[in-house]
Amino acid sequence: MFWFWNRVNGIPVRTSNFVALLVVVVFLMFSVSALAIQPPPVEEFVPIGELPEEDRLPAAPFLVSAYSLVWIFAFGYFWMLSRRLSVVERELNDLTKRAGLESER
Amino acid sequence: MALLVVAAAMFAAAPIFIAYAPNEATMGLVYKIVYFHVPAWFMMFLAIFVCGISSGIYLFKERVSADRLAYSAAEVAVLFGAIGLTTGPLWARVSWGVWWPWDVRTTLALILEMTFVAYLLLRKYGGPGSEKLSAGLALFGMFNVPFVYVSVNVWRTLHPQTTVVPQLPSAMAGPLWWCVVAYLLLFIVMLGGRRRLEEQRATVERLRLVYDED
Amino acid sequence: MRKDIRVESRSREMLYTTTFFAASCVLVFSFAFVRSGRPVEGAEAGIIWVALAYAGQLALGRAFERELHQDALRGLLMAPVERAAIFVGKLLGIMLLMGVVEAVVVFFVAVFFSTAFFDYGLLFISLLVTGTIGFACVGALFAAMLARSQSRAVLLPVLLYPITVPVLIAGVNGTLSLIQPEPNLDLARFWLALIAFFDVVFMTLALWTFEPLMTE
Repeated sequence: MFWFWNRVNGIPVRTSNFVALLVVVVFLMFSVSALAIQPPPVEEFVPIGELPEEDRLPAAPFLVSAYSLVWIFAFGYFWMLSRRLSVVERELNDLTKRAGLESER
Repeated sequence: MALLVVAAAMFAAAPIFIAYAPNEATMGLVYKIVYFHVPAWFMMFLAIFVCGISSGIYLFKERVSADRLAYSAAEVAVLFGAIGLTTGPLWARVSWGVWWPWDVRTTLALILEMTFVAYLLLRKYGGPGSEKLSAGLALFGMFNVPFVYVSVNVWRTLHPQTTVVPQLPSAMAGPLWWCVVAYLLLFIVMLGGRRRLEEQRATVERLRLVYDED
Repeated sequence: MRKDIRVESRSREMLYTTTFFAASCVLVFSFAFVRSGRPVEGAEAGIIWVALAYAGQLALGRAFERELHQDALRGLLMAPVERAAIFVGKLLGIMLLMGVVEAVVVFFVAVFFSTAFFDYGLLFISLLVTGTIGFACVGALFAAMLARSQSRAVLLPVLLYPITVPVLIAGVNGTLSLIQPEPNLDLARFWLALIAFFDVVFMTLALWTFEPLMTE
């Protein structure tokens, strides 16, 4: 999995990966906007208690998705961080080994 | 090592998120998103202050470690801002009927997030010399924060005013501050990890300069 | 500022091209915002400011590119002139250019849309002036910094817009409150005060950071 980050690999590999990622992101954006169809904005602010029953949305799915979003973001970030860290640490090891070898000469 | 710290922080955070859920007086279930939304923005403001101040230190005192801290803080700021900007619309969709009302607070918050995304873009693609420019950008961004905070008090918006949080009844305030602490732990761990990454990268660069000369 | 005059004397080409660009912006927006022959209400305010922003950004990019080609920027920095003076000189040059562009844009919009901008001339002009100061100040700072960077053409808007959008919003809202059927002077003055406040903050920041930003 780390070859994606490996600088030594040729450029074509990175570009195709990037294009794939871009396609996924664009697709996600389109699907989200398709789902985001909303009623025309209300002129005045109507407190939720007074809103007629049909206009009220079930709150639970939103709450749950907000919660899971936080976890996804947090985990995702930690995962990204650990990947980047391990790449850099590998490079560091390589370099110190090379440096060690050279200083023995 | 880093893993241990991460595990500890998550251990602290997880039961917190579960614990607050039952004990709420309610004005509708959905307002509970506040427990995710508000601390996220608090942390984003904190991250921006860290970024701005260390950028200032970097610009005026020429300390490179401050620049590394600024870069890490900017990334963490974008992350928390993203959390805030996604939980916000989820809440808005239910309570206001629209995903995104273009009022002052939301617009300014979006601009703030964009400023720091621009910071990251600049650092990544700007080439040599972009550290200083991004530091300048961070300073401008930092001075934008008070505007965002105060905007709900000055203008009439859909957004609740800043007086709400200090006046929360203790049943709600308790979990909120609990969440803030949890987010704070998360913030510290993320910042620390990211900063470590930067420092490792700097070490690699230094070594490479030295040993790749032949 | 001698710098100011230098900039001006060289910039005839920039002047004409930027003005033309702004005029064509107005044209494009007119198509976007005209429904069955009549403009969407209040669109004029937005059109002016957006055309101004785009033209300003173009001018900024080109202004500093010129310096780069003759490495004039480096020479200038080594001259025994106070750094802040360089910045102000550049700023004035850009503001002058934007001022001309504004005049042209306002003229066109007023003619095309028959809008009475000058009923409250002083307020309107103050809005434009303060808005220009804010935009140009931030823009000059970032453009000067990016002059030596490789992806400057792309990065300048990326950096510039998030910071200057509040000024633009305030400008549009202020202008709107002046041209709407029942003009609201107090509101316009409020927006003006807000832009002025932003200007003070931006100018202070820009002058403060120009020196460390320009040293390598």
